[in-house]
Amino acid sequence: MTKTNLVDLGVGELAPRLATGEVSPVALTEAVLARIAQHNERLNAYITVMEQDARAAAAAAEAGIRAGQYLGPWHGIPVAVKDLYATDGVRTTHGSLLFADWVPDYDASAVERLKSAGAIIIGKTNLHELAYGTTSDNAHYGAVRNPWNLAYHPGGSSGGSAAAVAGGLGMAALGSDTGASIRQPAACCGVVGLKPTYGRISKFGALPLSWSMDHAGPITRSVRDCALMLQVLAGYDARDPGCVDRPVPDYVASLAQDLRGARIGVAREFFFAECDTDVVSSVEAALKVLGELGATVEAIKLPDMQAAYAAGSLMIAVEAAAYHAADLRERPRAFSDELRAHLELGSFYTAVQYVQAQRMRRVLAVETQRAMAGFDAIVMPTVPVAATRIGEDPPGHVGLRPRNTLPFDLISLPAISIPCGFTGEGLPVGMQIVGHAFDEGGVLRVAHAYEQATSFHTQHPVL
Amino acid sequence: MKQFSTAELQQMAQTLFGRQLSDREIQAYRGRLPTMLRTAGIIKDWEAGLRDIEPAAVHAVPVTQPKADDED
Repeated sequence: MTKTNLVDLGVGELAPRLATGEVSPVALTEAVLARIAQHNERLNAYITVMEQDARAAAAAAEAGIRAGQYLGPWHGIPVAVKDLYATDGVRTTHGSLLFADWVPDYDASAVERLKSAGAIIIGKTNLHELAYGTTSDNAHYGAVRNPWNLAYHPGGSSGGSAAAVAGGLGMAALGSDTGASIRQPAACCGVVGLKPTYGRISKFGALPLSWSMDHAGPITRSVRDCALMLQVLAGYDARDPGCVDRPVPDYVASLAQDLRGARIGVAREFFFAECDTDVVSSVEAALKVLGELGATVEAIKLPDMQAAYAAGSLMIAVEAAAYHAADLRERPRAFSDELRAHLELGSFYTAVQYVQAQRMRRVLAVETQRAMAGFDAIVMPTVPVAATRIGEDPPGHVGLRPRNTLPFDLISLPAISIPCGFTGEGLPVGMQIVGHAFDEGGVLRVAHAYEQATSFHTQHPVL
Repeated sequence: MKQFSTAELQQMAQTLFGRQLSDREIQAYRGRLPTMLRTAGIIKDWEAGLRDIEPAAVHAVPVTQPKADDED
């Protein structure tokens, strides 16, 4: 098997070969490092590549597996980590000058869990500055490029993670999502991204953007890999006050269920409005596939999602302004002009408006749960618009990019983006599947069934 | 999207945020202010219907593990 073949395989395909010794963690890691060496200069997906640490971890994984101490499906798999997560002994910039030289002496919880499962951390991925933005055009570390067309942005803020996974510069990646930042870049890069229920994955060691809206989650090439990664990441951690102590189900087992008898709602009213025609036609075709797989696909009426978007965007603006208030006052020049203006504006909202938004959040969460009763999941386009050229920002796109994803950060429901087509320009389109609270298994079930019936996840960009 | 004049933006900022913005501030924030003002307007529209609604929980009671030397 050549190095190129190795990086084309999914975690689910590699794991049994690593377990038996057919594939070596050292060879796999070298293959990914070679791919990074070949393509990262153009993609700019990584801020820091951890060659030495990765090689040492790969050698240790190989020795462990040979000694009969196989740890499970992540043992020996190279994984990328968004540079928002603390990594022990490795520079963690958060995509900001504020942290340009920060070397933590601890790992974020999600990184700890991946390492404990035997994963090899291969590097720290580029992101929109301080995770506040949706293009990953970083003023300090350069723009990340979309592997499907290097002139286009990869989405954000986890743009480096999504680009790395799509381009084969990592087998999977950690992302984070406050309004869009896992699902929107996953959609733009043609990969899978899951934002779990609030509290399902610990955020300890991840830089906050907005405490009540932030979520940690996986970005992978397939739904099976996503289920495998969630299995490792999910679980209680007392160091994150928002983390929830409840059992972690078997997510891979949920993939075995087909869609016969499933009831899937299509939320057209808000989520299909203002979408590009290529996006709508791709998602409409996907709905037909879900129907052919045995699901009942019917319209669902959700509460006022425009209000959910408004309340959520206010919450992010205010909480981000609060988190960065001291640095904004004392080191304003460490922020890009764009982000500084953005954060300053967050302090314009009044305390009363923030509390009203939290009251709206309660109403919208309850009403959404009520509307979803009897449905297994709801679907809509992940992003109304495909990626655009780096440096160009068509009017309205700042608001459109997180439009369909942000409401589910506010309401805290699990949501996945999976590839479902391409635009006329050859850029990926994503479909979002949203489930009930803590029913990540239900979301993965629908996503996996669709994925197995289509071939979008098998198509890779040519770099 | 409607293009607001500087005077209109200043008036709306005063009404919705209680702030007087200079011409320089209006220029600096012009790209984002209309969306923020629309957001504030939506929040305002909802206020009357929120009479009996408590905010969503954003506070978790801290749970700390007892330290070894706290134990008798």
